Amino acid sequence: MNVQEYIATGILEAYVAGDVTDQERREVACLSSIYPEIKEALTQLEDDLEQLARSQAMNPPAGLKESIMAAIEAEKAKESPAPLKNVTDEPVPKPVAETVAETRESNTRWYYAAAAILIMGVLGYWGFVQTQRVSNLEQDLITLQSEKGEMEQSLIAAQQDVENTLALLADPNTKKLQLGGTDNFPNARLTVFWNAASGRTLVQPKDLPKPESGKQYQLWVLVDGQPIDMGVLPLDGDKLTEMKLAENADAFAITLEKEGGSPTPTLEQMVVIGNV
Amino acid sequence: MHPIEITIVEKLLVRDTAAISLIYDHYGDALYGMVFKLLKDEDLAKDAIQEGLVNVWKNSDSYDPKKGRLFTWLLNIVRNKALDKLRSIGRKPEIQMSVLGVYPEGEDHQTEVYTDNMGLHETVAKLDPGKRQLIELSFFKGYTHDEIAQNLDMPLGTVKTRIRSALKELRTILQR
Repeated sequence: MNVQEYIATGILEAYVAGDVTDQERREVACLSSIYPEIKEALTQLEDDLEQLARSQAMNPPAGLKESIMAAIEAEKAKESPAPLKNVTDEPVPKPVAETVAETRESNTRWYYAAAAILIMGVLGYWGFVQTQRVSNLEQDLITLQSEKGEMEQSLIAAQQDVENTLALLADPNTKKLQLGGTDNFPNARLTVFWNAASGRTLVQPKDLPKPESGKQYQLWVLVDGQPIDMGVLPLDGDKLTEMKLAENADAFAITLEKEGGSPTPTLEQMVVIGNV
Repeated sequence: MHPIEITIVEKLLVRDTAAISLIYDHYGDALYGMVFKLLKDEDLAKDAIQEGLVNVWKNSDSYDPKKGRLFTWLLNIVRNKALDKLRSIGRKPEIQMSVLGVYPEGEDHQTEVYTDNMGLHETVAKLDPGKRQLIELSFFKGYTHDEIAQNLDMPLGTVKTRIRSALKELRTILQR
């Protein structure tokens, strides 16, 4: 196949614009995985498309983002496990109808009748109590199932978190940086994981002294000598924590700020620092 | 791929809603601009973006980085929503038939044809009128190549190659 001729037909432009038949789409996708020139031409076009769109960019009206995120959360809620069906109580056995036919003639019959009523009454009540027990047990079961379902969801989410983090740590683009203590905090240490490709930054703060109350540690990234805020560390706990993204980094540092952080770093309160 | 694209794709694939927030922050303006040019109405455009991004979320684990870049995928989803809206309100932007039917090559009719010139960024305006028209019709007005070929009475193949050459020229302008 003559790759240049194929490209010259303009089919790639049509593909990027979404203006192709399903067959053409499969054809282009397939050929681009075989011929690097086609893949390159496609990537270039997609770049152009983005540039073209950006040249026409407009600010959307205010409040649109909030509205979108609310819709997304609603959609996400719909995707959780289906609501449990309601327990329908078994109908309580009808109270024993008391149909006693009193016959003036026969006391025996009356005694039999009385005994029968008594027995049926007891049975009925017992049946009622059992049913209540069963229905309570069913309720408990459903509650447990619901809790189990929620736990499974949390577990799945936690697993995904872990896999996500592991993938990041294993990524060859992720650098592990050891930040050392400063004069004021000689024994402090911090490990920072920074992925140069995605900008994701994680910290492991187990060797930082617990900050006094009212204070909080804040992470900064230094780029061209300028410190940029990367967020505050959680007040307690020493779990691996994800911070903001850092596209570029020359160095990282932690300062001790008031709770909630500060727009600029208090350099005298620098705790750890290290170069990339 | 740019770093932010990698991050968004990572989050999309694990269905983290933060992906949508990042998409809005980084691509929202560009997407809204395209959709607004199609719909010419703020409310419709807002709805199209919102419904489009909800669709992005619903289909987030179906994005395949091997098939193309993130923005292309996002734009197609959002544009399709916008085109749906256009069809549902029974309006497709009109190609001014009478003028285009006798569309001359000369410069003098430029302003006449492009009465809808408002907002057309100067980059695209630098293209010669024929190329500019094709870009406008296909990318901004949502016409398919078939429709353009019919309306301008051009063979389909010609439409495709002219669009290709228009994009090449655009790329040169954008790179300056």
